Amino acid sequence: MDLIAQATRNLFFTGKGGVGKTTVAAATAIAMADMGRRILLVSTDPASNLDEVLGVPLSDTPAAIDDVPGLFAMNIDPEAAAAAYRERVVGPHRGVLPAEAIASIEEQLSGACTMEIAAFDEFAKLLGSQADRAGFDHIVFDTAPTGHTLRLLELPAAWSDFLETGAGSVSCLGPLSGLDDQKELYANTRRALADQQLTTIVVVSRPDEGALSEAERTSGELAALGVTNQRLVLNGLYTASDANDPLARSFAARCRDSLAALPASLAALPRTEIPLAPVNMLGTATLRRLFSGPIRGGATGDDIGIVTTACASFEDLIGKLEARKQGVIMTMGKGGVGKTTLAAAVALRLSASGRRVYLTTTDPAAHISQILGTGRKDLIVSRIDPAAETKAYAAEVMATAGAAVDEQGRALLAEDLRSPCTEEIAVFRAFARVVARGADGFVVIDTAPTGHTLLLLDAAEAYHRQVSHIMSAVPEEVKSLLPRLRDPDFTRILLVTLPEATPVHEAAALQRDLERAGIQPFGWIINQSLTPHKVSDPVLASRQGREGRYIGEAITLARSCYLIPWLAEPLQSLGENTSRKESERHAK
Amino acid sequence: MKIEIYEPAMCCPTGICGPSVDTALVKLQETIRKIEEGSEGRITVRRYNLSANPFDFSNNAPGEMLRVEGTKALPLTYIDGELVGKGAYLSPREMQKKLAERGEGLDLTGKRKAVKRRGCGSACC
Repeated sequence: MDLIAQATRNLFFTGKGGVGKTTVAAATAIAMADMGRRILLVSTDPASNLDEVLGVPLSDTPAAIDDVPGLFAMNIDPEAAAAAYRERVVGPHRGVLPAEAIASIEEQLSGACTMEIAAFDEFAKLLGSQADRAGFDHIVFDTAPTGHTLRLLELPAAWSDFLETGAGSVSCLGPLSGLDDQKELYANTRRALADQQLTTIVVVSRPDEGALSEAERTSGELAALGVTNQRLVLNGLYTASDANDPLARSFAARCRDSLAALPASLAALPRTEIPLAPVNMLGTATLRRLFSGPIRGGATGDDIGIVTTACASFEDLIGKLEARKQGVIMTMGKGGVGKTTLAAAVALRLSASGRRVYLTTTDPAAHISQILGTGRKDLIVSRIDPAAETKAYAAEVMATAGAAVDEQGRALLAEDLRSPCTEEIAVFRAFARVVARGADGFVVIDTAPTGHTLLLLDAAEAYHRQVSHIMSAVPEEVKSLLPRLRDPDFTRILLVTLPEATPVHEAAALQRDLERAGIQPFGWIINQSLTPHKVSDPVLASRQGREGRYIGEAITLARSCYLIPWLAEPLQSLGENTSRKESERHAK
Repeated sequence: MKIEIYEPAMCCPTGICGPSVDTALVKLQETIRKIEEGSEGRITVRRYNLSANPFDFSNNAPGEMLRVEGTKALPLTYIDGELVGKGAYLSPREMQKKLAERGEGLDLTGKRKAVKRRGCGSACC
């Protein structure tokens, strides 16, 4: 196939969380290595699961993958990159400057800006410089979830502009000293991204409406940035082999319908189709068969009866949430686990009982209103739109700080505000504002995919430390954000997962990170489970048989656990308080 | 004449990256521009940020000041090596006074529009 046989030097895999970017990227890298080429496979996701998919522990330097000669893999972890950068800066001054001064430097270099910059720098090195990529025929990037990817890919353009305009203060480039030296590197990065001979963007999607419309948006935005060499991979295509299995028919119908409505811009791209696998795609041996099948499923002998009785239902969850009058409810987890749908369903149910509910998303890729359709009286839906927030914040700064200086000063300030960090600040402030509303009603927040959420919370932590000794006017809601997130009576966090390896392990990692930040999740939701259904179709039965182990893991990790069966129309089924839902829950 | 300002650890010189923009920093930027333009190159201003330029602290007098008084001594302002401000930025008025004492009569407080250099700086005119 062309994806592998005629691959460009750089391949980027992008798409909505959970569509199988890492799986397809890894399988592609393996197939190319098997043709005798030298491949570097890189994850730039702050919450990378490349280790788990390959079954090999990875670091920030390329490691040879034993079973696949010619394949090397690495993780670019923005947090680790930022920490390494921080140490380079402060290391020489330990013992020379007082500890207090060292701590103040570290504090300034632990914000979202530094992390974004440090990660980008690593990424640019691989893409823009000849030295760092020497010896590799291809670099395959398993990129971060879409919203983040777009920002990462937009950065080279923004930064080159920055460096070209030169004069004036280039504020946020400050943390990266000696940045002028990088000018050529960033210019190369920008050229490489737009060069059709060098770079291919592989848009990965599952055959479902949400993932496809997200893929359409990503594809269009990248094309607008001049990145036009794109391919489409449709992952998880399904046709029922057992026509008597109602669940299989429902699965297949959903797949068929979404393909029939394939957006024209995606339909025009060269396409690769991958059928739904009967097993989790983990390990190099299984990945090798993704393009050269068949992948065998079959029974595992796990007892699935026990695990479902240990979990409560969505109805039980709503009952517990309704026991309070207000507060913040956040759904968190890996991309594609159904956070948006569940947040919307929770919001619908809470508003149906006559309470004022604010539903907000911080996920740059989500379209809550698209899922919800028309609004309801007691349900106020909003989105934290990074572009709009940035514009509003910039206007506010110009009106306050800008008013104190002359015209030329305002021009400089405006230029400063074009920095990539302004968006982080603006989004963060908007997030704090939304959380503050939980004091007088229910606030349901569908947070961005895991990696981005971590950055957001980390920013909250850094800000919290900063604001505690800055006297200037910090909005009240920003000051109280972290205490609010830490208060289990104010904020209830629902970790959403699927009964599969990677989502469960990422939810576990997220729970550990939250606990480190002093935040205790309220409970786990295991979403889209086949276990409560009667299944006879062999592919679905094989997948069902593999759920038990991961449901069991989730139960041991969660304070309380809620299981939701796979539903053809989850929002309709969960969002409406009818007895019809009860029958679906007890489908087994 | 040389003005040196040693500043606390900051992500960016305007404070835009912080949770709120510090007006004093925006004002400082304007003052510096007025000094550089008004003195026609006789006065140079250099800013050192603890997080971006730590070597300029540790190898010089500000490093000693940090060791003795801690970071609350920042920002420090020196004119030709003489300490003229500690713990806070000089206001435009204070800066104007310090410069006048040293024979530089610049207007840093007036609302007069600064001379635009754009368009006649280099080979273009």
